[in-house]
Amino acid sequence: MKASDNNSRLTTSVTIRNIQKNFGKLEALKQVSLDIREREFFTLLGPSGCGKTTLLRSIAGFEKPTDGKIFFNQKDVTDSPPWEKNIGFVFQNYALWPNKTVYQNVAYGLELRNKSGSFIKEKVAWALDMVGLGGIEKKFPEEMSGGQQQRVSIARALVIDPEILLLDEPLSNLDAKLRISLRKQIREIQRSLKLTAVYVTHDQEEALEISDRIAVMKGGEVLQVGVPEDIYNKPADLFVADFIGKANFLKGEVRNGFFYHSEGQVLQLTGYEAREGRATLFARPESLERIEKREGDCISGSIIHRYYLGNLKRYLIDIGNNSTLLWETCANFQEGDKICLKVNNYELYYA
Amino acid sequence: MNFRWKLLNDPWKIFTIIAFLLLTLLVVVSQIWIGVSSFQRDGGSFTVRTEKGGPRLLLEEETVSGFTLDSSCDGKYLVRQKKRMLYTLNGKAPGKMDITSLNGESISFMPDDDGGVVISAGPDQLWISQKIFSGLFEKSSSQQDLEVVNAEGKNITLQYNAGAFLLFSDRNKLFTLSNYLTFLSRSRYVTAIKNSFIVMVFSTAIAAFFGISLAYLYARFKMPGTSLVLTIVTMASISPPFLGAYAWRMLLGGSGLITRFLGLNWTIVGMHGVIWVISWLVFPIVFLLTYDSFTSLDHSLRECSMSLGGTPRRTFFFIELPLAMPGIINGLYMAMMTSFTDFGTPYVISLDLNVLPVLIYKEYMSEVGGNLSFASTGSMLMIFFSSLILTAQRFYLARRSYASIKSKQPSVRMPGRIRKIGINAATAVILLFAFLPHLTVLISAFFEWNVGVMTSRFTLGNFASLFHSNLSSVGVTLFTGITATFMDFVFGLGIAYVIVKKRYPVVANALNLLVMVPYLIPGTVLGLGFILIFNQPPILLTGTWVILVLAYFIRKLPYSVKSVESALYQVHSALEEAAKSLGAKPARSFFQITFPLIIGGIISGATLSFLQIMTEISATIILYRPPWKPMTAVIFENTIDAGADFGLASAMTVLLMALLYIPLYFVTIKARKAKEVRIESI
Amino acid sequence: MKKIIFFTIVMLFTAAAIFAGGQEEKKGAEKDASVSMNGAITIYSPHGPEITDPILNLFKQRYPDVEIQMVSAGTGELLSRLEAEKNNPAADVMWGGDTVSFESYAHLFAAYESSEDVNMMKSDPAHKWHPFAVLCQPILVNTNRLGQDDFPKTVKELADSKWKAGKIALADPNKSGTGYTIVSGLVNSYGWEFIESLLGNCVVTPGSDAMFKAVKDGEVAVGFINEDLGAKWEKEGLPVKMIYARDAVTVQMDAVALVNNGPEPGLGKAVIDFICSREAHTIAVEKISRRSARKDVAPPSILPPLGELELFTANEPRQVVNAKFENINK
Repeated sequence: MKASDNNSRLTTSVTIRNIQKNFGKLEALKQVSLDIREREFFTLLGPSGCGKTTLLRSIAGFEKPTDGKIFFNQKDVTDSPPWEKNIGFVFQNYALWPNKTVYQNVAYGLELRNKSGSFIKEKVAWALDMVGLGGIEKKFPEEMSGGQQQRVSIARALVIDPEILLLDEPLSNLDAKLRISLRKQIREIQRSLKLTAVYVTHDQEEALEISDRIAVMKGGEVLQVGVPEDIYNKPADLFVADFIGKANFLKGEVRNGFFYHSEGQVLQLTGYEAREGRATLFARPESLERIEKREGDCISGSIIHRYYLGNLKRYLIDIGNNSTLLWETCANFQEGDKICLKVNNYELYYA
Repeated sequence: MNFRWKLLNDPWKIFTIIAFLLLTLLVVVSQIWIGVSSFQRDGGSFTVRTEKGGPRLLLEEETVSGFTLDSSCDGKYLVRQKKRMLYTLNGKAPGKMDITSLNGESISFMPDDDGGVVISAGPDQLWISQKIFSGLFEKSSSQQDLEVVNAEGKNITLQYNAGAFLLFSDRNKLFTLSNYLTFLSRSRYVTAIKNSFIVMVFSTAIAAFFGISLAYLYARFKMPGTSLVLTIVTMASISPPFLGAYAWRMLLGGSGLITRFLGLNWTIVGMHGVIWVISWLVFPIVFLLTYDSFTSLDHSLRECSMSLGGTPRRTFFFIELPLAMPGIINGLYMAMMTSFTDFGTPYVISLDLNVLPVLIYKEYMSEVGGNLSFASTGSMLMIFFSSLILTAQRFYLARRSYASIKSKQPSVRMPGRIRKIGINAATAVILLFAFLPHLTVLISAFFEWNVGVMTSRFTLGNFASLFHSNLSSVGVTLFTGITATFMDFVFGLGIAYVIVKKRYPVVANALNLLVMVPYLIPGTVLGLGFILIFNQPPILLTGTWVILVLAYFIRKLPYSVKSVESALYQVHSALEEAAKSLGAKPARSFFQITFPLIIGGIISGATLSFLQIMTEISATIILYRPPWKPMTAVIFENTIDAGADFGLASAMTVLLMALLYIPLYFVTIKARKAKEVRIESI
Repeated sequence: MKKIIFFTIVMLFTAAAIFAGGQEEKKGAEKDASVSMNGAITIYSPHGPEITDPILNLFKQRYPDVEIQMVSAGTGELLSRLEAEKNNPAADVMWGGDTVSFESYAHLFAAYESSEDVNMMKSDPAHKWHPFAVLCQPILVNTNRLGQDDFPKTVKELADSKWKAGKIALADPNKSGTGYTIVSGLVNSYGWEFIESLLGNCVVTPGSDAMFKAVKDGEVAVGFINEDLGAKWEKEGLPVKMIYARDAVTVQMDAVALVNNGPEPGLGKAVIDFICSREAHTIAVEKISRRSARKDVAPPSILPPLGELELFTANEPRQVVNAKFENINK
């Protein structure tokens, strides 16, 4: 097999059924079920302590679930230790062996598989090339930047042609700019190699950008699984809505197709027939729209802060009653300007 | 299937089981008698003095224990045990008494092996023996043996030598908590506990002050001769067995060389001296473990603090010291344990300082029949206190995660001229203190000794007689020492790994405790336990080299375990997980990834074990039998009498030290070189 | 890893089995051969080689086929070791330690009526121990700490308040045979009230060696000493002086005994006979300045004859002494 031959690459789907993991009294995972498709970039997203890393480590085999099953392509691997699976694992802290050179680090997995010397050489070169790090084979991890180290670590995982690539917050130790360029690179590699990848992160922006699908987790449970657009626009609950991106929440009441926030602050609800009752209205900052003249069904307030985001500007608007709204637009306003807003896209969550 | 997977895929579980069983055999099974006898006491005893020319019986009040005796007006004694009326003792005539049972049973009797009599009344038994005193030259020809001359129903008549002491005892063992209550309520024992803690706290504090400061200076500043200092401190970490503490007394005692030279009316003998001498005994271990910790710190953390405006002092106390804590804590822990359990120093450096190890040791090893129950109770309390300290140490380390993925060599600074002189001067003084016993022994090996006193005549005779008659001991010491060190190496490595990385529920903690227990039991007592279980088939090991090796192995295992533990705390488990994810099985990932990273800790652990084993003395003297006679036994036998000539012992000590120092020198130099080469290439 | 551990354990147990088997066999074979003077004998002794070698060297000349294995340690350690080994004793003979120690551990020793017993000043009615040397415990003073005029003349004056504040070392009778001899001997002469007031001036050391060394090193001014050692120290010119108080000198016997069920009882008896012989005692007197316990061997010339001394032996059993001492030493 040629080192760079991608078509014969094995890949796998992952089926997770009712996984429970307890650490003593703590329930790290509560009956989690997920289906990760072949060649999919699947992200586990959530705040720290939500169980996403535990789930990833269970998939790898580092943790043995207390209960439940994990299948790779319908094969039960719940009890298989990591060394019996063909996985690539990328650690948050790179986990490069400080006493080995880059070459030795990357070649290790192939040596374990008793590959010939020339094959190893070719394959290591291929893997380092994949991550854009040719020619640094002789360096030690300490001599490299964090970004380089993490790319070596990815090469080390790729070199064994894994069925699945598992990444545990690989970018969280890197600076912002590097994070953005490296996540693009990871996504490209995954696409070009047609790998199944499971990616753990707490950074929603990262998740939205690179994922095929995202599972949002909290407290050991999966709250929502979906493509980024759905997660962003149709969050399953207030937590997801709040965790992903910027969001506005307005408490109020739905009556006769209108949303009453408070005295004089009313929005007309469009699109579908809304159930009546107490509710929270959720809207993204960019789905608010300014209306020139106050016509009764708008929310008015005054700008108390202006954030400059390049072509976009974000305004913090005081609408009274200790409530504020975020609004994003290209238009320019000054702090102190009075403004009326209506909402184009929204979700209602009833109490 | 599931179970098979667990065992086969995790050789660590197999290892854990083997280690657990071995330690259980060597520690629990062999030492359980200590625990048992701490909860036992004899039923009781009392002694009665008899009259030469009359029938009267005279109770020795102080000797009564476990019984209550009331004298009635007609000279009888009423014997009760726990409010049960048992007997009356009634002196009838010179050399004759009646014993009547009061428990409703009739009395039977039989002679015992040692010329005494055992009487039984139902469930109650009483051993009676007599002790006759006569002058040095009085021929005791007409002695009356102890015998029962008449027995009917509830009454027997006992005949004895008039004027003898009659010893009554109930030797049936009772299970009781009273040993502990007594131990903790008698001022002598409570004082011993208090003194032990004072010695421990102060000597550890002094050692920590000198050890940590010096270690920090050498870790931060590029000093010429650093490796020499390290080598010397490592050398000082082994004190010459037996002779070490005495050297201080020879120099600074009431009429020590220095005291007399300076004309001081002062002596090192006393608690202050004990604290001082133990401080220097434990200083090297604190220094070495701390030094390793400081040098393996990630320097960016320090620079980070400095960049945030932390002064060097703040950085030291708030960043570097806390980060180096695992090593420091291990060092302090070992120091505390050593100072808490050290028997030799208080015995030699004080006349009557009452500390637990001396109290217990002397109770076990009493020439005149000690109190086994109290000795065991004391041991159990020592084990209890020590496990408290151990728990505190474990708790402290477990609360924090120190594993650092990097192992960058910290930046070393060039010291200024004045600082350099200061460090050098401090080093010289500190090394002198730490090395003083060794120097004294070295010098004394080259002088003639007579009746326990060093003369001023130079000689090589001590060495000559050593080579002439005791050379085989060198072979024995090397063989047993190397074998035991190898076992310590293997098990120390494995056990530390299980404790730090595997953390199996219950078993890991149990292993951790089991490893430390032999450290808490005096070597002699440990030896006695070994004889108790290994002196009969199926495992007859007494008198063989195997029993020495096992004793050395188990006693010095903590050194290996603790060193490897500190090294392992610095290796993040992700490093091994990375290998596993690439397909390496546990054994392979351990040997190819973790092992090379902790080799420094392993070597220093094995070295420490080796040094300790080669100089082990207290278990040796209980367990050795010729021809398996180690060098320390030769040293000991030539020093036991107050009038012994230390010349041969000193010469043997010098040879022993030379045997240790030569490999030690190469190991430390090699290990450090290896480390430096690796670091530089990174 | 597995292999190494497994190998180690197998190796150890194999070795153990070989040793165990080998020893069993050897023992069986030799027990039948009884008193032929060859084989190996194990002697436990608290004496260092400087005391045992002169006598044993002669024994070796006499019986070249007997191999002597010496195990030396303190009396307390050896007795504890014998106690632990009693189900399968390794030693044949215990040589050294005073008679009270032998009596305290009488169950460890076998009765043996040595033909030499009748030649001794005194012997054990139970024939367990056999006397070796007679030892007095005179007062020892440190001449650096004490001027000649201040030397105590009598034991009685040691209870005087001028010695207070720990100027006197006294071995704990609960821990040391010598300590027992001294305390009980002094009780014999002056009673327990005297000991009680003496204790006010004393540092109680946990062993007799500690007491000896305390005086020698000048840590205390006064103590008691085994006279053979004191004589050697004086001779060597150390700053010490032995004083045989005119009112009381305590005395004890140093003994040798046959271990119960030892592996070589025949050889053991032969060794005891030899150690008790006139020949051996003569060597002891000459080489190690110990008073012989035999009636027919004169004491070393450097020691005063016993007849000139006001001697007191122990007169209460150790249980009584221990309990009473414990009671006043709080």
